Amino acid sequence: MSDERGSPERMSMDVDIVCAGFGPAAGGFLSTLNQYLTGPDAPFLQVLCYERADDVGFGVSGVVTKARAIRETLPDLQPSDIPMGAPIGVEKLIYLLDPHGASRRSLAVQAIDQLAGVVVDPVTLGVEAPFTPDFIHKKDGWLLSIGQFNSWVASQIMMGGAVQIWPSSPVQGPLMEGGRVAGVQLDGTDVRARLTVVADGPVGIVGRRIDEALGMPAGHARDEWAVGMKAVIELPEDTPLQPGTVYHTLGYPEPEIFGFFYVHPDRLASIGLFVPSWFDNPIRSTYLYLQHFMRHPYFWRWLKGGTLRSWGAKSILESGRRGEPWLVGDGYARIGESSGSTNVLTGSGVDEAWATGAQLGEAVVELLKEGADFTRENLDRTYVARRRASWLEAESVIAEHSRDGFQTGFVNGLLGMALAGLSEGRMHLNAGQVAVSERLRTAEEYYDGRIAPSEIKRIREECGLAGRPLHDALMERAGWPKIEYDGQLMMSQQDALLLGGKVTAPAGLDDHVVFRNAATCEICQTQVCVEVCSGEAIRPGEGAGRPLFDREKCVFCGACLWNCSAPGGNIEFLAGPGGLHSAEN
Amino acid sequence: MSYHIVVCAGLAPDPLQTLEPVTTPVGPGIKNEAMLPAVLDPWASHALYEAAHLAKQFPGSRVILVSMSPKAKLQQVMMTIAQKAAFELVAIDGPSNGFVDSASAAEQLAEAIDGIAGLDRTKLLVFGGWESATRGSGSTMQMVGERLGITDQFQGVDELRPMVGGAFEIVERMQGGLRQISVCEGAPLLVGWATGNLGEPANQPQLGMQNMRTLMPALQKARPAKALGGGIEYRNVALPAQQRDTKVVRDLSPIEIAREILEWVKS
Amino acid sequence: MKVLLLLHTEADGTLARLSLEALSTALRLGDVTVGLVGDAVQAAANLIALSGIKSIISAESPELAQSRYGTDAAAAEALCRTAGDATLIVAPATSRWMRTLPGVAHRIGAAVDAHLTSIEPSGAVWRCAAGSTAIAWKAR
Repeated sequence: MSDERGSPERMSMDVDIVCAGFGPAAGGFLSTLNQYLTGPDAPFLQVLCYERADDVGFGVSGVVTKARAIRETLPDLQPSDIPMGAPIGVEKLIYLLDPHGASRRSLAVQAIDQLAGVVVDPVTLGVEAPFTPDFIHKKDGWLLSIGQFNSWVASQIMMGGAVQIWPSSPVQGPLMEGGRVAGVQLDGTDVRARLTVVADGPVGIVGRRIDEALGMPAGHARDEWAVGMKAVIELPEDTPLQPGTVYHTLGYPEPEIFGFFYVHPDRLASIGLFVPSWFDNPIRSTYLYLQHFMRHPYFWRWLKGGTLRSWGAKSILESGRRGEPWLVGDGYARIGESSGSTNVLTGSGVDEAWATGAQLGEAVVELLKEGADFTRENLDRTYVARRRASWLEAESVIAEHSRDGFQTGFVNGLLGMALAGLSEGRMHLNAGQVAVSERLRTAEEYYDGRIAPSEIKRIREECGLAGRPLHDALMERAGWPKIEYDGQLMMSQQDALLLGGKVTAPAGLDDHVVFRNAATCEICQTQVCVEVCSGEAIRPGEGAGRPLFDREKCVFCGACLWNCSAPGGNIEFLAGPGGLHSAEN
Repeated sequence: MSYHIVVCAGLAPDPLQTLEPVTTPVGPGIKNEAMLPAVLDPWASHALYEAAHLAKQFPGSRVILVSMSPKAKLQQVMMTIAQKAAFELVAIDGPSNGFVDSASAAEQLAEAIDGIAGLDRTKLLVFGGWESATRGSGSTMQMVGERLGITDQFQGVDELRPMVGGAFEIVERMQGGLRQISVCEGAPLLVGWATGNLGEPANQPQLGMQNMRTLMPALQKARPAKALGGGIEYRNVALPAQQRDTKVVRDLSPIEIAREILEWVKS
Repeated sequence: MKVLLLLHTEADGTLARLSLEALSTALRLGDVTVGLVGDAVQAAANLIALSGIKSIISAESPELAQSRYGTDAAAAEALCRTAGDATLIVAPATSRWMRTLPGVAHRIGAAVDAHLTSIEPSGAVWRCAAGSTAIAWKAR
């Protein structure tokens, strides 16, 4: 937000509709709107979309999707029309055992391990579930690369000539006038619009600033998250794996960490993990866990000899309906992941985001035909009404409490999910939501009984002197084997940033991750931000103080935003260009 | 005085991507080229920014970007470039991967330039990069110039200073880190740019919006490139083999280290 | 194979190191004629003759003291046409020739390439293309 309106240095533009962010939600919105704007008797409108990343294809996500909403908007699209796309074939749920005994397994999990041990293949150490529950299954769905999908969608939209999608254009925040959103602020330019579509994702600044200004609905909070991280690997030439193969995993590298493995055409595979906010290890390095996951015998038999093609990470908002903000207001509407569209029971977000975009698109067309203004009331009766009446809403209600059980433990969580999934939301496990900052324990607490506090102290000192995070040293000390690098697939996190993510940042700009209060960092005993940073861009600072931030390594995953141990958070996460620079995601 | 500045620019794969050659039915290509993001050729980008800079100093000037590149990729690149300079676009839908021989590329470009309505030869400045980041032979622009009958040509240019009376002072790079300074009486002339001294212009959203009004229709009108190649036969395309041998030593003198390196290079 | 090696003199009438390297490359390829361009070429010609090359043609004029596209192209074109039986024309990658010779290639209908790392007696050339590929090609 800015009080620089009318400042002589800022330019101003007037358009009809401006979108902040381009992803599946904006894709759904603009595709729907575009069909109207390129049709007969269409009005002439200025519709602009501003995307932060240097290219609309530089995002990361799984993706396996039922693609219901996508297919409704684009009925002729086949997954093979888009590079890396394939129809889903074999789909399995795999329970993985721990080959090293280093993960923390509760008694309940150990009991499951014992049962699994009876039937497990001793070579692969994975047990295939006899069936995949319906609520996870993506039968008849598609496997896609989000980067290629976004690129394709953007290209189709722009060919119509009615909509402009501008990459490398970070939106700094909304233009607020009282309770009304009047547009967005770019660097040096105010873009005023009749309608602002907020599609900037779970950590997007426009959505967050609006929430700060206008508040959230009572009882709603964005308090459950995960880091999603994946690598795209070129499999060895003799790979037996078929495109369209989908594996969902649980049990390893830690019971709390769900994983996935998808096989694309042309010998490419995506392998990834979700490290959730209710996983209480303060040394939660998603990258290191991903490496251990890749080395699990179940997958290593296929990955060995492969080459890293791409890599990336993002925050996933897993609060579902509970994290839903005000969906509309005067002059604006929220779509996509930041509007709480992700279904946490089925673990799907892309199609849901698209659905909300298409719903808003239809609403906007209706209002344009009426000649009506984009007021809260009008957007409510057109967009929100459509959303509430759709399958999206029905399914998100089922999902709403489905994951609450995880707040009290992994097995509880599984039971809760199963309960909710199989009862279609009528039953679920009750548990209060605990804020992430309250859940975080110190390393001493987490490793109590495994590593002596004196050793942890020693490791802290050594890593502090070297300016390194604790995760490699502590995990090794906890029994995780050292990862051997081959420079091709298994490599340091820094190398993965460069070789995989091609991460970059233009020179000469201010840091977009800022630690507000130095004193707060000084008393922080966990510094989870350092451990969880997907790019190792946040590093220990001098002594025990404010961490250092290296802008050139940041992938804009936003994990720092929700991993701060200070109540309310001590980290400012602003917009900026750069970040991930690979479209093979 | 005003100028008609034609800038020839192809595309290059985004420099951060990992490239691999492959054999396609139509000859060598780059693996997964369709999937990789593209940028406007770096040297030619400098040419475009210099053109825009010059055009600003001479009101009434035109800047016309002529590009032979895959249409879908060019559209994607326009969304980055169109915020940085004001220009018209003439697009030829064809490959831009460096495997087309420069003579064919030059023929397509020159034909497109000849077809620009209202182009005034007495005001004509033809700009391009002195080399492409794809083919990298530094030979296309000269042939474009020859086809257009322009024999005042400069390569590796960093500065083009307008002088009183319509002449230009031109600074070219030479080997050995030297510079050659020439004076050219005026248009028509051809300049293959090195980096010049201008920084990359900041994004101007308003400019982008205005540009799009003409760029999108121009893209839609892109004609396919006519039969290309035929002049060369590729025998082999491969990634250069890297040889790497890391040795960590203490207490060796620079002379001894140099001797070891020399032995290794010779072996 | 008949080869025409195009060289130009430096401001002081000598041949640059690049030019001498090109000379040794050409000698390995076949029957070489040297085409010399500059304002005073005798000293350079004498030096070249020491390598055993018998056929030296030249374009000599005060106009050619300056490195300039128009005059350099005219001189090189004339030499190429004089040595019309040469199937391969080779030159050092000096900035003067890099500027000029592609235009000359167009005039005489030759294929052209630069930044070569080696040439085989068959006429196939190896080079590094930008984008990190190494390619070998041969003119049809």
